[in-house]
Amino acid sequence: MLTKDLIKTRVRKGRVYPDKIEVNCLEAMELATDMLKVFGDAEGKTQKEIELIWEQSGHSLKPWYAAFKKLILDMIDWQEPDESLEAKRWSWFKEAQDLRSETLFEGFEAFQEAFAASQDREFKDLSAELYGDLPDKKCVSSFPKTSASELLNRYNCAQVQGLLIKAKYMEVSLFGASTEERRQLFRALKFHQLVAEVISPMDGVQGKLDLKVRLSGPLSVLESPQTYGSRLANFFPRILLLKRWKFEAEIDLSTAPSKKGLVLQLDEACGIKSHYQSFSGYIPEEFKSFVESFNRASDSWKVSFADTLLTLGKQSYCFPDLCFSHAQKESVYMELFHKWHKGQLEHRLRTLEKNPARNLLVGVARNLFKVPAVKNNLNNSSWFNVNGVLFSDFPSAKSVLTALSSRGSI
Amino acid sequence: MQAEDKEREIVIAYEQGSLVIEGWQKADYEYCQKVVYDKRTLQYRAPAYCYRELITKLMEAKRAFKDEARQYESIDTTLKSKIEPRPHQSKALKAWEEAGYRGLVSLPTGAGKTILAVLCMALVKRSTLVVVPTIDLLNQWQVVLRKFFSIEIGAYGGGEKNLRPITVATYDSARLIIERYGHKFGFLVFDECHHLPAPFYQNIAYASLAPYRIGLSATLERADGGESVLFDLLGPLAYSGEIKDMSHGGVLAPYDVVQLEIELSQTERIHYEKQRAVYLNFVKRNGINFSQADGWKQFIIRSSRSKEGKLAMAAYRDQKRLAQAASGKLQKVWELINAHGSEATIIFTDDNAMAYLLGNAFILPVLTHKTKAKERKRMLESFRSGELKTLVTSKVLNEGVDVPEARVGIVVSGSGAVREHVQRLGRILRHSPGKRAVLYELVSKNTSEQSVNNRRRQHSAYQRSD
Repeated sequence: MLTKDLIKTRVRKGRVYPDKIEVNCLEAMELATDMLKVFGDAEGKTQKEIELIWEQSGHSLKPWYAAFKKLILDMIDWQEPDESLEAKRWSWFKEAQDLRSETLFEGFEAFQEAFAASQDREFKDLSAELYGDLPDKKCVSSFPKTSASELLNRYNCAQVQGLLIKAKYMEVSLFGASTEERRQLFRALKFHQLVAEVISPMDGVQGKLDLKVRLSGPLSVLESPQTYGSRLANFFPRILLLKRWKFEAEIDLSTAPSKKGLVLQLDEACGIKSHYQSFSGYIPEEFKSFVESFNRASDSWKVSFADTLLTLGKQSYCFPDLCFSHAQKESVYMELFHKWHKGQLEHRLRTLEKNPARNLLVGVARNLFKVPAVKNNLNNSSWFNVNGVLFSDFPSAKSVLTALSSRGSI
Repeated sequence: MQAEDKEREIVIAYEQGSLVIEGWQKADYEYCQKVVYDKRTLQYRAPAYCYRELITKLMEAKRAFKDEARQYESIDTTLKSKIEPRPHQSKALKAWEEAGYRGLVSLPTGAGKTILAVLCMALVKRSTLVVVPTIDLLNQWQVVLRKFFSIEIGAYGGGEKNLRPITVATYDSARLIIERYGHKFGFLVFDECHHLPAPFYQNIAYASLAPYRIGLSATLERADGGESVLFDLLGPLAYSGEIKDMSHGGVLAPYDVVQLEIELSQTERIHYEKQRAVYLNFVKRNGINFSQADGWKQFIIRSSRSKEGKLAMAAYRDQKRLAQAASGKLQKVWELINAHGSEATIIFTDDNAMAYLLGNAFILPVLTHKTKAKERKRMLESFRSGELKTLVTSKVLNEGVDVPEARVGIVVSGSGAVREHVQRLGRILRHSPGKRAVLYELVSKNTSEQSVNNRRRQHSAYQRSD
């Protein structure tokens, strides 16, 4: 992301517009291409050396230079410094201190000469090495392959993120989103610890609004000093991964608390591409084979990928993985927890113990169940005893059917 | 209150910095005005810091409630070695007790704020979170707390993540963990609490339910009037002691402040005047008035809009750098460290560049935020033990760090902020028998640095102590 001083905006009639570079802007493309060129041969160069190359090429006076510099430097992997330097430095500190106390020098130049002689080196070399392990003297280890247009996209994305840092809330609308897109969205919300209030429910009509959520944090409802701008800013590239979307955020650029916020609106027409990895549309193989084997094994229950948001109350919602439908019974959903979902499982159990969900099954991976605290929680959970399924790689059709039938008539 | 309402139990839980309340009804607002209905989650919610008020009023009204929020413990805070509080510490402790075990205490550096906090912890006997601004202070607090308490001391910050019933955390780490652990501490200690009103730090006090709180600082005043936030979140000003009174009373070492004027070299003077003219001409042409509250902001905005403005900003920085890093200062620092060769001396600069320039020129240890945590610790320990006589730093040692042996301070450059200079003075004022401290301020003659220096010298701490 970019620092405050690198964020450029226009404000007009209560709305705020982030700066955006068009991908066909030759000047910006040339600058990005030239600045990235240095990485053809950057290994072993320090930040200072890289900046010097850029400055000598006359880039530093160009618009976007400072922002591109920040974005590029953030992408670099730096080499770890020489660890033996610290020991050498400390021996020099002590020797220099002793030399100063033993001899009265006419000036500091005389001291430098004497000290250099004692080390049998030039003072300027020795002095340059003294703090040679500081962060800005680290050398480039590697740099991810990045094109000029990718850098421009990062810039555009960072300009929006820079505004969202000051956001009070954000309302996101999805249009014709696939099940997987919605799932990804809600998983990302969980990951970024945001609270979603569903404003318009999903009606599933292709091309029309099918979900509108207002995003903020737990304390947003209070007059709290806590803002969730950085979480919203980090979340923004996830929105860019969706096909059809729109968002509106209230941005508070003023330092006066009473002043009304500015409106930031953006939709997929902005053309900014996300640098986050997209999993959209990807359905893991084990999901596909489970659906096939379950539907073969059962005549009464049929399984499909879930596309529903379940509100569990108490600030909890769940986007289940699977939906089991039955001609005469209410649909039952299933949420799966793998080894890396320990925190989410604990939170889910706490919620379900207080507000038992009638139409939810929870599947827990055995390697997660092995964790003593988790095992203890699950064994003591009356809700899980009835509605829980343990699995190794993926639940078996048999175990799920048993769980569905043991729930009795819903 | 209806009889049936009295029988209905209120259940209070802690959730991510807030109290969620079940069984709350209209009539219950008399116990806490700050409760709101959260339609997102269909619950009543209040800021966690209202916990004390809410519980106290429910208890007073004998209202049935279940407290599922509190997760902090009673702990054994028996002191391993006895503390004989100095008179001002006793007064401060008593005042804080009388304020209901909450509030602010203002004492100059060296007057024993850490020891006062230890006495408060011994009194309160609750799991405690100590919040400090720097990693150096985190290390220092841990050492002091280990000296007085038998239980393990946790730490959050500088790469450490160890939560214990007594934990020391930096402000930056505390703000990241508070929504998760805000119910685990009954007592909050904010060292250098003038940092707390910053918008991104306020939540540490807001999202914690700790009923017992203390804020410690040598300089409570904030230019933005943020003290009111401190009163709201930590309590009233319980006690205040002045630096002048402490040095007269033998709590702090007596001291002298010596201003040394440095001439710019001829080349520096020509360059300085040229760059200053570029900067001032831009300011004049654009009608920017620095005596107005937003004068500096206006300069930043306007200078970013044109090439001329960018050159003016570069000229401003250049003339400031020339004044702060005049070559004559290098020579003067050399003379001073030789004159005080055997005495513990701290050299302060405004920026890292000048600090490393001095370090490289005289082969001196330089401690900045760029120094790795392990080496920072080693530098401070070696300085305290006398192994290192001189230490160069930019701003990280401005606050709180205890270096009792330091007798000489050399301010090579600094900001115009009174707080910074009072804090720097405080580094050399720890009392020891026969000690008289001296703070040198190097000021480039006939430059903007001189007027900045004159302005901050209005503070009472600059009046000569006898």
